[in-house]
Amino acid sequence: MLSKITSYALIGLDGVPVEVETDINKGMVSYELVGLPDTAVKESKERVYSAIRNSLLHFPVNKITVNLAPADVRKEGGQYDLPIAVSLLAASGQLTANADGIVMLGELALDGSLRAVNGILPVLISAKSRGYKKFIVPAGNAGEASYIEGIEVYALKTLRETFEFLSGTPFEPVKVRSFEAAKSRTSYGCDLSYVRGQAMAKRALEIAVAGGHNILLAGPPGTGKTMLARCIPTIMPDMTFEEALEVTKILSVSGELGEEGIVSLRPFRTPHHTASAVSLCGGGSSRIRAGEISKAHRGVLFLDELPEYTRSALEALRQPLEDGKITVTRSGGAITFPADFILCASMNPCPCGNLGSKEKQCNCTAAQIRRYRSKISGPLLDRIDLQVEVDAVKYEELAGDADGEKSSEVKARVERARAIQRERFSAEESVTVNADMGEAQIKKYCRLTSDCENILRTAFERLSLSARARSRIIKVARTIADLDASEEIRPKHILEATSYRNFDSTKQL
Amino acid sequence: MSYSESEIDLIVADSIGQLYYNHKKMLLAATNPFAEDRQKCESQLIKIFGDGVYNKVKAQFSDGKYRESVLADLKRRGIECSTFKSADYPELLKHTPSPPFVLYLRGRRELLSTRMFAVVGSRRTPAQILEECKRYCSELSSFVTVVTGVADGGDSAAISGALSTGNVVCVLPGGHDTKCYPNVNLYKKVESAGLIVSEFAPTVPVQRHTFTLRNRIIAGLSEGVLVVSGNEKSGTMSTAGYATDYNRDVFAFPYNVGAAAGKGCNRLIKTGANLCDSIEDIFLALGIERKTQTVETYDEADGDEAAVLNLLKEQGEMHAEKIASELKLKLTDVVTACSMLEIKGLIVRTGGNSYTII
Repeated sequence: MLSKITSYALIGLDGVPVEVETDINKGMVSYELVGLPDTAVKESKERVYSAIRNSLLHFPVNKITVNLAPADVRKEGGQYDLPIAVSLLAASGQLTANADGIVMLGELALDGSLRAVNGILPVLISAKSRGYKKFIVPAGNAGEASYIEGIEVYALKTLRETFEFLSGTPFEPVKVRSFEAAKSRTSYGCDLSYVRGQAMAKRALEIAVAGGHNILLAGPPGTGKTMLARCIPTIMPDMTFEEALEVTKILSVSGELGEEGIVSLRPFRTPHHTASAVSLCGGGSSRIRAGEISKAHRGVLFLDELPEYTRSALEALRQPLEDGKITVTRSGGAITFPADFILCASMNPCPCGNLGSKEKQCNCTAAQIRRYRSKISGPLLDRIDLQVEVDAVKYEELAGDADGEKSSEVKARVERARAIQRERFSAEESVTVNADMGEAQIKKYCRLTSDCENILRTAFERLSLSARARSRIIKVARTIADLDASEEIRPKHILEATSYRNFDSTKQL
Repeated sequence: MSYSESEIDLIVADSIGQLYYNHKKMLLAATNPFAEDRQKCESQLIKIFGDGVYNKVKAQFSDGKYRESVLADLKRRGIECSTFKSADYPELLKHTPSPPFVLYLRGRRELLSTRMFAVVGSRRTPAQILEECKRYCSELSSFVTVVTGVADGGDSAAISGALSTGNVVCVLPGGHDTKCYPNVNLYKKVESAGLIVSEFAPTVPVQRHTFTLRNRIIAGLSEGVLVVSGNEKSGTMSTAGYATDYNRDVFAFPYNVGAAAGKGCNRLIKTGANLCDSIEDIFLALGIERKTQTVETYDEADGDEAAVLNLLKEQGEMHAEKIASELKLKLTDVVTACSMLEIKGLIVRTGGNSYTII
């Protein structure tokens, strides 16, 4: 007898339906699995065999052929265990009900229970867009399945339950949960008010987030650069449901999704500086995986000790920083992952870390400092609009009890500035925040009065700024003006913007 | 460029690599038929090198082809020489205990016969001192030629100040065509606008001890030396030491107690150097009278800027957040004011978001 069951294969974040066909015929006893399965899928035979037997069902002893169609898509992972088992049961006549149009995914344990699998959310979204309405997923995946409306998802615990469900026993579909509720259950562990002092750096963070600018924090070790960076997500506007789904999709495929089933907090990723270019950007030989920059999508990518990263890893960031997405191309195909994040980098001002410190003497020569800084290439620095110095906080300030501003207050200002930008760029296609502006938009939206032009010109001469810094300063000035709710860029906005340009100076040290 | 026979003698003697300063001196005497101590020098050289080597060196020295090749090489490299016997060899340097036989020159040779004043500083010079040093040199260079090295920090600031008039002489610690410093850009600028001097033949590499040798020339060329910064053990101290030996005026910037970058300066002052807190100190010693000072005209600072400026005048160096809390201003306003003042050239950032007045 022949049976057909529908499952789903993921390619990147998108997928295609997979038909699991089983044919049981007379002949020599055998079990063939065809249709480009990887090792995990090939090994499913043993799991399926034990699971069927331990679910008090019968594993047919005949000539069995299982085909996973389409034959040219690689099938990976354990998610085909369930459809293969169900298909065997149907083909052997034990299950007579019609399972057409039900998409099944799940890995089987030897005792017949269903184990959670990766990538359920992108499967549901992709399958829903192809018109599928009914799904069977492992109970462990119920969380992420509960945020998609308009489909029926049955989260089942065992193969036996699946068998009963398909035979007609009624089961409750997964209840749709609201994203708002999930949001209220989570919180970032830090708050801007926990950071003592550092008002300059906090202000710079506010500007960076308001305009979507990338930011570089330079300061001696132990000054709280990491803590400041951790606060960036707390002042970013809350994620919308659509944004949350984008982020959840990526983490779901990578198997990093938590209990909640949806990511309601903006991601904050801190890859170690030994990270390779591939681990940052994504890749892999047979299955292309998302890299850290995609996992930081809609959030913050924090690169601590920027000059310690390998040159190739840093240079690979340039294009995604520009485009907000990355296309990973391998012989097996090309996959585009989103990668729209705020880059926050930190570094010491010099190799010994004491440059500019009031207490300690810096022992580095100017040549050493130049060499250290030159590890960050000009083109990369070009994409970092704000460069701020974080200075050592004195003990008294640390111990003081004057609480700083709360993240929520800063967030309110950021949201106002973002609203202004949304309105401004409503006609533009690829621009949503000030940092995305190209030369054309700068010309259009950042007209400078003659006063501002004069100040900018003198600043360039006086402070020996490099020509690259110009558009960066104007963009930052635009954001500062937005935070100020000012229609036009005023001289003071330009002036403040020039003070965040520590590394542009071509001045001799 | 044509040289007289005695000048060529000096250039050729200087080009023979394996000879030390004294050897060269003796070789010159030994090969000069009119020298009184000719016999004595010759026998001493033979004693030092042995017959064979001495004769070889002597033969090389008087070999016509070799002599031509040395001159041709210099010409090819675009280097001119001012020898001890040349008319424009600096008079002050000539009267030091061990004047170089040859000064290898690139740039405006005429600067050699001007009045010179040395400004030296260490690599690690605080930002506001760099600004100050630049300003001093820019003013000094309208009257005298500024002599300095080519290192980062104090020297570079002196050069960039003096480049406004081009009256600047840099003394190298090695040959012209060896890479002594990373500051290639600055070097090129001095080469075209000012003058670069070295006592070493073009390919002699820089070595540890050549820096001190070079310092004696900086001190020897100048009428006085201003030390803008320097630790107790830095090279600037050796320049100041030579200057004292040669009876030149030594000036030093005063520093705070405990400031590592200025320990040397303070010690100089303690041991009798002139404390320099105004450029007039130097002009007075040089006997130069300036007409009315030209002050750069900028709009007067007003409002917040004036408040910040006054506070910095009182307190010296201050952190931006401290300024804000002291003046009860918003931090953004302070940052704006500080940026403006920085652009106007009235204050300077000293790292770590602190500002100080110039």
